Amino acid sequence: MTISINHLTKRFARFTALDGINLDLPAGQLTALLGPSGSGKTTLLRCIAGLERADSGTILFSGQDATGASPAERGVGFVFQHYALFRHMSVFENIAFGLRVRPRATRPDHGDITARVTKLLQLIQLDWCADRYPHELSGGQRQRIALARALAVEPKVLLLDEPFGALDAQVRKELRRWLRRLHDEVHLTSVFVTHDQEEALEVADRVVVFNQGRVEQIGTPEEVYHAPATPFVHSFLGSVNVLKESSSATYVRPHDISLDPLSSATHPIAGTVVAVNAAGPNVRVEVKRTDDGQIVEVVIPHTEQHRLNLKPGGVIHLGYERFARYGAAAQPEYAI
Amino acid sequence: MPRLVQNTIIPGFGLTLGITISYLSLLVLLPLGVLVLKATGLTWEQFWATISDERVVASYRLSFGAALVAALINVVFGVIVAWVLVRYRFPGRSIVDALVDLPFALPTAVAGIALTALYAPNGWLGSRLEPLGIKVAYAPLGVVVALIFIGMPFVVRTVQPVLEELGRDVEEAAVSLGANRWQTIRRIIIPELWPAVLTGFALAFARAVGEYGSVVFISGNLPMKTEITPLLIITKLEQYQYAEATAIATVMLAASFIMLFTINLLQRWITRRTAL
Amino acid sequence: MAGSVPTIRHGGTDERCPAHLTEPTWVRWSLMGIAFSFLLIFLLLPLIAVFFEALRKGFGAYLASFHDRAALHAIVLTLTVTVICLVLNAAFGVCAAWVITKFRFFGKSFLLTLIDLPFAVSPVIAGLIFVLLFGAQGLFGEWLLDHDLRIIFALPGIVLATLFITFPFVARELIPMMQAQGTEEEEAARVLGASGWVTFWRVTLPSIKWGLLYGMILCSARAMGEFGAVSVVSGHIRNQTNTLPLHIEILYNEYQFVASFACASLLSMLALVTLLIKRFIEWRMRNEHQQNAGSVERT
Repeated sequence: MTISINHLTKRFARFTALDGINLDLPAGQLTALLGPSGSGKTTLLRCIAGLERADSGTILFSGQDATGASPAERGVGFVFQHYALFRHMSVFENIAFGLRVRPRATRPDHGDITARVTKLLQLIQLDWCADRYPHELSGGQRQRIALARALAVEPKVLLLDEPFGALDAQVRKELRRWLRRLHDEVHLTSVFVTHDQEEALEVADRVVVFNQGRVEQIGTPEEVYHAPATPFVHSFLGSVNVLKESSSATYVRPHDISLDPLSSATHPIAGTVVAVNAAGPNVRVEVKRTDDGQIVEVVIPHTEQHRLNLKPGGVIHLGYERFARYGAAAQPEYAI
Repeated sequence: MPRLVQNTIIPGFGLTLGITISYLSLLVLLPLGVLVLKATGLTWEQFWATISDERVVASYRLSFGAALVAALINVVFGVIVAWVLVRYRFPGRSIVDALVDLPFALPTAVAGIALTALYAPNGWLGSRLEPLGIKVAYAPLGVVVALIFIGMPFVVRTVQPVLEELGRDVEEAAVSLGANRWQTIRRIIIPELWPAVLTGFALAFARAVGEYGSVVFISGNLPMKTEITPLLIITKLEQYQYAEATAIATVMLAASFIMLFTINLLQRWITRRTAL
Repeated sequence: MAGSVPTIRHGGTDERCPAHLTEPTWVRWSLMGIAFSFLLIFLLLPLIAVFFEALRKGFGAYLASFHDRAALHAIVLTLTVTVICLVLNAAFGVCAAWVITKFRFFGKSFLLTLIDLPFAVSPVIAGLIFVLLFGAQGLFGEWLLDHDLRIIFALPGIVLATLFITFPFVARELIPMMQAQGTEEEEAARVLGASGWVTFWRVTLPSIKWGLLYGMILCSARAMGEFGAVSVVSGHIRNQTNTLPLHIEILYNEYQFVASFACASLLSMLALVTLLIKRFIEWRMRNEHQQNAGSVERT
């Protein structure tokens, strides 16, 4: 099912959460809404779910107006940031809840419900904990149960609010891959909200970058990373050096900078090495520019460090080939 | 139309707001409104004459004075009780802890006759205090004793949770910086407890000023000597002096509002402090 | 896991506490001595005195006190008033807590102040305001007389005065609890297709049941024992409008001490049962709280 959002605006008492959002979410894709906190991404997700009502604008589900529909009528599955599992119900009852509260006419019979819930428990590989209560389980397990509960009502859209936000790094990575695989199996139109760019780039088919209630850029993970449309996207996705020049600023990623002991046309900027950190897969070097004193972050492979043998205090020259400039013009200027 | 509510997904706003407002109107706003209305029906001279009558003023002095003394005593002993319950371990601690709530659960009339039986000249404690020249029952001191009983849990129950929440780490920090135990208590713990102690004091005081049931038995109810203001209101009512009863009640109600306001301010202060 | 960490509250002992974080032994013993003496004199002795006075003339005389029509009537009236107040105040408490915690609207803090009001108002005034409203000289007095309705010096007056004194208990207990729980579970239920009623009965109510029960226990303890407010509106008519606390007062003033203290002992036992149930609910709530807190820690 496709979702189209037109001119959606939502204001809270003092600030504008959504400022005329236009967005199309294609069927069967996994879309990430990425942005810093307060950028409006969660508000948009809650508007799609019908948990929040927009001040103006429309939301269409497969071309049909769903702006005023209740959450139940929309047929969405929603996974809450803190899972919102019903603490007094067992895992089984949590997953069965959406089926049990249906009107008698459409409610599956007892056997069907048991079969459906059991199948979902197998899908999330937690069939052994049907009779447990939410507080007896780990965060990752509860996350998967929240997902199964949302899937039990066979939604047409799956919405996830910061699905991995409350988990530790290891579990986060596992669940990320698991969600990607699950999506490839069920092919449900899915939208998830995250503030973690790594997460968005790894899992999603498409990334929508938010800032201050507006969409900054929509694209595949490759597009938003390699061809950022705005300075905001450039600095939000990965680290970046902003090199000041006379008329404009040049945005260069640390690993796109190369170093050379000698000054040349390709390495015109002189500087002094301030710090070298060789722990990790790459070597991180901090260089202080001689002309304006700016600290520039550079990432080079270990092989480069072997060649250059950088030490704090040493003189070095910087050069780059890949960069972006954002002048007054709307279109960024790239050199790749 | 500007929207009254923000959240539209949770149902029942109209229903629950309607019930809440009707209930509060019928039970609180309308009756208190009538009280104020009746009071404004008096001329200023009548009103002033009633509330500044010698016997009435004597009752204020007793009600507010005894409430103040009782609340102060409760602060001292309440903090000690809270400290012992939170910091020390001894057998039967949970029973003692539960017993602190007894004045909340025990009907005030029961407390009243029990205290009178104890402190009357022929009672267990009264007969021992009498030879020392201390008269408790049927004297102002009896009023204080009853109000100590009524107010004590308020102090213990506001100080106790704050003391429990008070992290060991701040005390350890004080110790690591060279403070001895007494300095830690005086300069770290007591300042933290202040707002809670004040709130407990205000709550105990507010409750004690209006208290009736536990006091009337032990006080003896002698006009000018041991007659509390609530009793005076009832006496006026029984003599069908509605206007005078209303005037005195208005004064007490004003005092209640001031105390409620103070307590609210104190609690806001506590929340702000603990939020940091 | 939170449960296995020795905290001050659970299982931590004095011995485990290092010397630099506690007081010298003599200070500890003195403080405990002061606290125990204070509690003994002001709490335990009055309680013992009630039973002692009630049994002063033996167990037979004690039991005989209850073979009295007036006493039995007072017990029945007290229970009737308590049950009515309990039902109405529980319903009100849930509604008020729901509207205050689940929605944002103008005038909320005014509602909260109104709910706090009875804690600061003298019970005597609580009685007086209903006399001014419904008494013979009151605002609606004549109208009630014309229609042959009695509120003051009758059951409705006693119920109204008791309602005024006790209505905050349930609401005050539920508001912070529901505030802490937030609205996510209700939202989840709504997205899964549950109606408003189903959401309330199956999601909200089970998660606030202990808080609700706690508030109801406090409410019923106060309702059973209310004296000042009821005293003003009841008229003290034996076998008609005498609640148990008022009956105790009458017996006491008639120098029937054994009978008076016998009735008092009945209310004292109810108070002790109340404390017991209150403890149990506190224990249950703390357990649930720890389960939830503990599981969050493990995420």
